[in-house]
Amino acid sequence: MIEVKGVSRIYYDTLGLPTEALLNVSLEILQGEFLSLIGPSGCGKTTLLRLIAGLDLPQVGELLIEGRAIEKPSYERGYVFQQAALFPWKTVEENIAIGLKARHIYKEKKDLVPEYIRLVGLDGFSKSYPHELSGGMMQRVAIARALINEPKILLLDEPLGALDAFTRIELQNTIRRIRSETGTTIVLVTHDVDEAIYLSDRIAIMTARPGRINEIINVEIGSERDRNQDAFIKLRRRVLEKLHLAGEIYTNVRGAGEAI
Amino acid sequence: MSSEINTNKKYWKPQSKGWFAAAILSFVVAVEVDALVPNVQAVNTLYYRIILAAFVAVLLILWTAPGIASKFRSKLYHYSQFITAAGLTLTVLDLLTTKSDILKLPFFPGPAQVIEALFTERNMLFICTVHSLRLFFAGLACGVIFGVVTGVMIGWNRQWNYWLYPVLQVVGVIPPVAWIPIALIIFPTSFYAGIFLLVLTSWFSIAFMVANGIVSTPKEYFEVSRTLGASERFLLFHVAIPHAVPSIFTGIATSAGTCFMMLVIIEMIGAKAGLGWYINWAKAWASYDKVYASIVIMGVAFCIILGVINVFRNYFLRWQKGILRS
Repeated sequence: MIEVKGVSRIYYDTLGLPTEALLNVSLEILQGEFLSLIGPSGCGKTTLLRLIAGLDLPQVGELLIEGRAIEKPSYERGYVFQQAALFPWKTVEENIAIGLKARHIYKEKKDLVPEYIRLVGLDGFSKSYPHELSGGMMQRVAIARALINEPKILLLDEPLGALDAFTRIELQNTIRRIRSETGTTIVLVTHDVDEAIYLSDRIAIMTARPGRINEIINVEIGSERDRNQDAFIKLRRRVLEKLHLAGEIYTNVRGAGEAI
Repeated sequence: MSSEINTNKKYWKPQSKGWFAAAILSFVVAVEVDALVPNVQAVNTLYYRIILAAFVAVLLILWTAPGIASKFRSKLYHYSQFITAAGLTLTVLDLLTTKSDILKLPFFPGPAQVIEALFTERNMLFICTVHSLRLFFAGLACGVIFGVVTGVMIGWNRQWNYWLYPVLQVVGVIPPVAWIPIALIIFPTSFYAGIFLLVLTSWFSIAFMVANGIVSTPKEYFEVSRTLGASERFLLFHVAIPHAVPSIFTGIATSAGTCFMMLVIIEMIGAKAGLGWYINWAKAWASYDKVYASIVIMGVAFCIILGVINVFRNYFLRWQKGILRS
C-alpha cells in the first residue's frame, strides 16, 4: 500500500515566484489496484507521480510505501514517461535489459528479455533500434523495460498522450492485458476521460492552482468494459461534470477524450 | 547509350554507359598525347605513361567485366563525368608543361615529372611517410585519450569542472604553433616534442566536445535509469558516455584535420624526418617536382586517414538514423 499524507510541493519560477503544484494532498493506493489521476494541465498530477517514484521530494508531508518513507527512486516503482525516453544507442532487447544490467542480475535472468518482448507484442523487433520504431512501439518497449524488474507498482505518466487514436486504443488493451497477467499496481496520469474509465478501478480527479485531489470516483462497471455501454457513458458524464467541462462536451460526447 | 530513369539519391548523375566511355576515352587521349607529341622539357615520361595505361586498363576491365555488382556499377557511372574531366585536365597540363614549356620549370613541373619524382624518390618518400604517420597517430591517440578522460571528468564531476574548465578555456585558445619553440627545447627528441604539440592540438577540442556531449544528456535518460535501479556508476558508463560518443567522433574528426596541419608545420620547423621536412629539403634544392610529389602523398594519406576514422564512426554510431542504410 502507498500512503500519501498531507503532501505539498511548491516550485519557484525563474523570477522566484512560487507555484503550488500540490497543496495538502492525501491519498491511499491499494495493493493491486489501477488508479488514474486526471485533471487539467498544471493540476500537479505528474508532480504527484514523480513524488511517488522518488524522482522528487515533498516540502511538506510524507509518502510511505508499506510504512517506509520514499526517499529516492527504486526499481520497485517502474516509471514510464510520456516520451518513451528509450536509449537510441541500444536495440529493443538491450533497452529492455537495462533494468537487469543496472541491478547486476542480467546473467541469471536474461531469459526474461524475450518473455517481456512477447508480453508487449514486439516479437521480431528485438534487434531494432528505436529510430526504426513507431511511437506506439517505443512506448511498448518503455513499458516492457519498466516491467522486467517486476516492480510492485507501475507509474505511467501520460504514456499514450502523444499517440494517435488507433494506437492509443490498441495500447490501452495491451495495458489491460498486462495488468491481468502480472497483477501489478498501476497509477496512470492521463487527461483522457475515456482512457481513465476504461482502465481504472478508481479515478482521482484533480484541480489546478493549487493542485489538489477534488474527488475520488470508484469505477463500478464490471471488468468487461465497452465505451458505448450506458454505465460507461453515465460515468463519463459524471467525471466531466467534476472537471467542469460537461457543458462544453455534451454536444460531442464521443470526442470528449480528445477535446480535453 | 541508354540512359535509364535514375532514382538513386546518392549516385544521382546520369547512369549512362556513354559517359563511362568518355571517361575511358579521355585517358586514352592523355596516353596518346604523351606518346605522340614530342617533349620540349627533359622529362622521362615512362612512369606517367605506365600509370595512365594501367588506369585505362582498369577502366576497360570494369567496362567489360560481367560480375560487377550493380551498386558498384552505379557508383562508377556516377563518377564517370569526373573521371573524364580528370583525364582532360591531365592532358592539358601535360601539353602546357612537358610538351611546350609554356609553364616554366622548376616551379610548375608537369604531371609526368611529378609522377617521375614519385617513382625515383619512392624509398625516401616511403620512409618520410612512415615517419609522418607514426608521429601523427601517436600524437592523435594520446590527444584522444587525454581529451576523452578530461572531457568526461569535466562534464560529469563539478569538482573537476571547477578546477579544469578554466584551464581548458585558457590553454585551449592558445594556437598550438606558439608552443613550438618551447616544445623543441624541453623534449629530448623532435619526435616527443611533436607528440606533445599534437596532444596540445587535439586535447582541448576533444575534451570540449566530450564535456558538451555528457552535459547535454537528456534528464529523462538519467531519471528513467534511476527508476530501473541504476547506480551513479551505471549512469556514467551506460548513459552519459554513450550519449557523448557522437561528440567524441566529431571531436576526433575535426582534430584529425588540425593535427595533420600541425604535423606538417612541426616537421617543416623542427624535425629531421617526415613529409614536411622532405618538402623543405626538396625546396632547398629547387626540386619542386618532389615538393608536388610530397603534397600528392599528403592528400592521399589524409583521405585514407579520414576514411578509417569514418569506418570506426559508422560502426560505433550504427544506431543513428540514416547512417546504416543510405
